[in-house]
Amino acid sequence: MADRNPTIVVADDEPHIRMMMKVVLARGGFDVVGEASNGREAIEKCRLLRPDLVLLDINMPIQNGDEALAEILKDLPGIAAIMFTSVADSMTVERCIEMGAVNYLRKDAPVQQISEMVKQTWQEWRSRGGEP
Amino acid sequence: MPLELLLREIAEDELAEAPARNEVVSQEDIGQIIARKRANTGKRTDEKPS
Repeated sequence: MADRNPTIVVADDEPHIRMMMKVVLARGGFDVVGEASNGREAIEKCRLLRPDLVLLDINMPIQNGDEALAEILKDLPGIAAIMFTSVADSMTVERCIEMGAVNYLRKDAPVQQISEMVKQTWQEWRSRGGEP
Repeated sequence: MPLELLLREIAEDELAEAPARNEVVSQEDIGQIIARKRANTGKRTDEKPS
């Protein structure tokens, strides 16, 4: 694991967000191995690519990110799932964390902070033995 | 960084449109929720309560 960058799938229905997160995460030392524009695609990409992390928007067409979260964690219990969303009500946050998301990031956070939080989340996840 | 501005605009629009059915929490509040859940349930927060 130390020899390679952690791999990540980015799921967001906004192409601009995916493009930006690819740049931000690559700068942060992550290898963005896949993108998804809805929850169903996120599940399929995670099954196929088996990334170390998945970044999940919540409001997406076809299948929401929180619905996809449950299926992804069922398939890949070792994955570090991070919600990345503009939905910031306490009930949704608590539900996603209870379902197994390891972090929940608001999209309006500064980009540099987002990158640092993803890195920190990954390091903490590994230190807690979550490494796949 | 134009992309960062775009992201913030999209996020602000989505936040403004979000139904206010529950308390909107800050990133700091989210960190506290996660810490509390983790403390209550152990290593991983998706563990089912016994």
